Amino acid sequence: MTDKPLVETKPPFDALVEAHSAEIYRYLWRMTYNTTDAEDCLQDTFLRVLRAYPRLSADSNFRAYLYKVATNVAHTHAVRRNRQNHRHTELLDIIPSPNLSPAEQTAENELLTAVFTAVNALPHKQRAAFMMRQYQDMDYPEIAAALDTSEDSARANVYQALRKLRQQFQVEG
Amino acid sequence: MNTMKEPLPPHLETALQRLYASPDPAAVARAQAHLTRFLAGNQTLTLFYTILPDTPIGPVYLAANDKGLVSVDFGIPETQFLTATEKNFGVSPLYAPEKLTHHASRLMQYLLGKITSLDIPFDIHTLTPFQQQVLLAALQIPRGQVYTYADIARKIGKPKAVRAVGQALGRNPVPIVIPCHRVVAANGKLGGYSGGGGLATKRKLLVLEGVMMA
Repeated sequence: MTDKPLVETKPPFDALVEAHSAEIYRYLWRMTYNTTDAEDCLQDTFLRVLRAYPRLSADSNFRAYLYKVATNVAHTHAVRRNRQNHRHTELLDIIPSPNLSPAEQTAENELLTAVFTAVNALPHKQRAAFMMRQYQDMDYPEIAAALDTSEDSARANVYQALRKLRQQFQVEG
Repeated sequence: MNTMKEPLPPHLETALQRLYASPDPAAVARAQAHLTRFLAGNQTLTLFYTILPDTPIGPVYLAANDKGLVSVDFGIPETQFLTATEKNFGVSPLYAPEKLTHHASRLMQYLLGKITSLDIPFDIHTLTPFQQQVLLAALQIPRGQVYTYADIARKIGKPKAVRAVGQALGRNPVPIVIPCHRVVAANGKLGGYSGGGGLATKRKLLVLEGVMMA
């Protein structure tokens, strides 16, 4: 006899918060690039999941589901921001690399601003897929589930994002 | 198509890394702490329920958390009430009449026409801001009066949202306590009623409040 339940049971909601809140925050920070906005989106995301929790089945991919909700929340947030003309297009808090001459620092800042602008210009879905793949340690089936799309389309979104960035920042010569 | 096959130009790779590698760890910790506190305020940990077996509108079920009533239902079997509550709140309520004596006795007296104001605390924070706005507007309708769906829409400053108002009222989790039965159609008809017993119950409640003749 084991204590294992016959029916697969859902993890308690608190366990989900415990396991994923930090990574979802990092994702939302990458999407909003603002600690306060990321925090607001994090609360909104978990509140929505809490409300939907009773309806989720025990065999759901909870991690992918969290990303799905977070991606929608970040999108709604970005739309609202744009409407209010509060776009974060400037980089305020970049810590200068040590051991750089002032000229090198200026050059670095220009590059960072250009890359940041290019990433921000990506369509929401491509940017989301790009962040999930590059920084969130997700595989394509998970990205597909999070974006509510096929694995091929998830792959294509990452590919398009990388292609655009690569094109813009080709090494001259 | 393997996106990882071709490496990114090194200066792009470095810049991306500088930009997105990691947020301030202090900000992560702060966000997690705030999230925990935020969720604690939002989570309905325990629900209690009781039954008024014999009222003028049949058996009435009440469920509450420590902030107030979260659900009022009638015209359905107890098992259906329990299933619906569990589905809506994620926890099955515990039968605990002693926790709800005040709420239950006030509601009973109201339904018997012995008191005219309910004044029972409720908790509707799990609803959308719009739904809450609509329900709080309905709460303002005095006993003995009726408003139209359009009146409510105007009151909340969204005169075109008449249909959405109807839907929000239809999802009122605490009927009677929030008197959505006092909202009727503009054509003089009753409109709809999603509470148990449907329009017959709506009519009974309006008769009790002196708005309609029996």
